[in-house]
Amino acid sequence: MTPRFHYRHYGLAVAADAELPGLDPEPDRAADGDADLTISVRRQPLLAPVDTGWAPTDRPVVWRSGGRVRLRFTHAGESADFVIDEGGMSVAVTLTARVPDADAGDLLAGPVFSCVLAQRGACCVHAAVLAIDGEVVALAGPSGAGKSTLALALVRAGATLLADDVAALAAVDGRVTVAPGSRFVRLARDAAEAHEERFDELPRVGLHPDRGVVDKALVAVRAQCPTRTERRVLGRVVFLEPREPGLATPRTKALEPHEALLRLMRHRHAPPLLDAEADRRHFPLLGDVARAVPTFALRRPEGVGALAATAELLAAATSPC
Amino acid sequence: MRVTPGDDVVWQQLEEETVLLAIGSGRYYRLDPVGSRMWALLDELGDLDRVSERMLAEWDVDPQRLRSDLDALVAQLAEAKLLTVEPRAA
Repeated sequence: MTPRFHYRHYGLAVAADAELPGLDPEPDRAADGDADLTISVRRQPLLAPVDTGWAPTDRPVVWRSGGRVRLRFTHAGESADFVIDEGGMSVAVTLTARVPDADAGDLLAGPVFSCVLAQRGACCVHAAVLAIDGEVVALAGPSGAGKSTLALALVRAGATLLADDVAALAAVDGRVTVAPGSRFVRLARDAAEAHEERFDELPRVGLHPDRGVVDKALVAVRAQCPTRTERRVLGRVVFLEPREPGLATPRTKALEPHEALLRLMRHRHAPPLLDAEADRRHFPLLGDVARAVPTFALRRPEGVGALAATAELLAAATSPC
Repeated sequence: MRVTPGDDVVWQQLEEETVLLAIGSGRYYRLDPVGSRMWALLDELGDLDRVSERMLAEWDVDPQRLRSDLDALVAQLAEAKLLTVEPRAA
């Protein structure tokens, strides 16, 4: 492989032999030898069936063999196949001819990278992460909960985006920290238009690991982080409750630690890799979060009109760390 | 009786409560403050009589009532396979 493209994603230096839209370019980094992760991409007309001996997990698109993990996404006869090595140091990508570069890059930046981080020992929670007045806040919720939409509203109100969809947690010096992720957020048309973005002019991504094809646009948020490698101490977790049409104003409710722990376990990302061994590692780490990090449930009215008020509520409740 | 937490059980004490996760089934269990203290002592001492003695020393409580509550909790934990119970060696 001859790496020609360099990126920074979740703090990792990435070297790839193909352009990968959705990952954050780092053109200044010339040396390939210092890459944390190498990605090789090739295209072929048809993907062979997965080798015998790979054991399918409970999700049909994922197989494990020894320490390796394979993810395959298929739609309309086209396939994208990703094999991640045991240590999360390399990804081999094979695409059929008509998989758009943007979709391949988006799958890599999202669900595949989540597995890379898990292979490297991180506990990934399905959450957007922002620094609000210096406090690192994770907005947790399932796909479609509105994490990215609310994250962009907070960015427009002065917050710094640290990650759009995945909070990669790890304990460092007795504290729970989160890795800086990406400067991109993915928005559906209505959410993009609520933020006055021209949806049709933005780079688009489509394949979604859980929901088939979802037409979303990539919005680049101006990088405001002091560095793209520094881990930050997690200051607060907010779980996004389903939107409530009859609710007049947004409000938060503090969660008891046991409730926070159960929710955190349920909101982990990279579910194909959540086996017994992962449960044993994640339970104490998320127990630390439940004990040490204030955790809330956020109730929100339906509709984009409530976005500004919700962002204001979250911004007002910060205490700089 | 000797008592031992199951191999497939992990737990976290959160303030005065304890959350247990049975890895195999993926089920969670929550113990209130009294149950949490009992669980911590069961793990530490591994013997029902010694747990009972320690709790009597810590709390002003009727011994029969305490033992009855302790036996009931151990039976529930054993039924849920969170705890294994063996008769003490003669």
